[in-house]
Amino acid sequence: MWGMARREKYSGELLKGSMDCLLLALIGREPMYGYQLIREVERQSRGYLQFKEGTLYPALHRLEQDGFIQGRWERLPNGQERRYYSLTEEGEKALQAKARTWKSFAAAVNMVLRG
Amino acid sequence: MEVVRRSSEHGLEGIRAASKNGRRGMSLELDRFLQHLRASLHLDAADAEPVLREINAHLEDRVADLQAQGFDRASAERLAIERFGDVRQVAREMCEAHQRPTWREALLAACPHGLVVLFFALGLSRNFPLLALAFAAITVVTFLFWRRGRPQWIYPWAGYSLFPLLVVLRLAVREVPNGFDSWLDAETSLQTGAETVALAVLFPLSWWAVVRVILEAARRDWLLASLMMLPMAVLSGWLLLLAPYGGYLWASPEDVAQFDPLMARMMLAVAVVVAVFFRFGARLLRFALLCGVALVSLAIINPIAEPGTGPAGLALRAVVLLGLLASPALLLLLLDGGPGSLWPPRGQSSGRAPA
Repeated sequence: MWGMARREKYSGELLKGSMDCLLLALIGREPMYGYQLIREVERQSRGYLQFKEGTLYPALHRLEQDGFIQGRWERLPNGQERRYYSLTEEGEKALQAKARTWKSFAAAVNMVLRG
Repeated sequence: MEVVRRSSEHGLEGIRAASKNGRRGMSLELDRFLQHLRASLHLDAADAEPVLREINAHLEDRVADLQAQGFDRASAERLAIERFGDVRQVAREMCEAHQRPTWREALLAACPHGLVVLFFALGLSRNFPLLALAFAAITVVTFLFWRRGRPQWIYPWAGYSLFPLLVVLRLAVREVPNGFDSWLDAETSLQTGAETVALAVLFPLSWWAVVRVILEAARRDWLLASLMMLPMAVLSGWLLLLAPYGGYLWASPEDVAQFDPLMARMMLAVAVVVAVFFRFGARLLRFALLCGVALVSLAIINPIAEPGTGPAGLALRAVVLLGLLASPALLLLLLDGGPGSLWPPRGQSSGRAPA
């Protein structure tokens, strides 16, 4: 997964490390399905972050296998199916831990950049 | 509308039926993409079908959004597929997300190796009736679960089931200097015409059975098929050890038993490696693990069995051994044009939007 800002390209490694945190954070606010997650990331980052769409689903399935999120199928009135993901208790703890790690990392980097 | 909930072999039909009856039909472009994805996914049927359903729903949503932006259906589908990304990368990552069996499944995979460890550790390797019974039991378990969706842990069991067939093949061929040669010395060669005829009949049947099973396994996942080959490689080393003493059938019980402790330790290492194999994610790393344990076995066994073998001879044996482990992938290359996870099968698109 990588993202592209309007003017610069963030490295894949940088975004890969934060992908789980982003997904858990979004799913933690409300249950979402895959396509909705892609749109929300793009919307909330004002276009700076765009998932390579196909790699989202392995990440979601991995988080589900780890027990951090739980998927369920829902059928819409028009017959379409969507798989919604919601955060589990384990996922909530994982999100808090990842968010703390991210904030510490960001603060440390900022300290070095400020000199 | 009913979504057809079947195994992944029928999963695409179910998705097509669902899409046809839903608000959008599945186009040829999307269908080809999903077929390619299905061919690249090396998952159990129960895991692959919901993955395909979910990705189909995603693509339909993307196509609908693009159409709302003014694209025609064909262009929207091409763009949706392009934005989705390389199907092989997606399949690879999905496999790594899913192919992390539980420790229970890893232990089940190690079970047949553990049984062989017991045989050697208890000095039962010369107890031919018990050995035959064990192989028969392994074969029955293999047959039952091979027909029930082929869980990943059954592949090592299948390897042991194939070993007797390879023995038949080697007996019939009567060539290639290895552990089978000593069965064929002047005093022990098959004398009766009936036995010769039986071997002549069994030879093509055994070849057919072995190649068919390997190919079937490889088409599902060449890596699991390589795992299936591992017992054959290591047990062939045991027969190599027995070669100077007349081979398994004609060596004295004491000559056979002297290698039991070594083989018990070696098979224990194989059992541990197989259990760990199932917990690794990266495919090449898992293949390297198989090659590593096979080469270590060769390095231990060959100097004992044939002390006069030089580096060239040892290197040749290593190449043959690695060739045996890679034979499922090589068979796919020869017959199908390549393992699905490495490059697209013949006649299917790359998953990228056409130029």
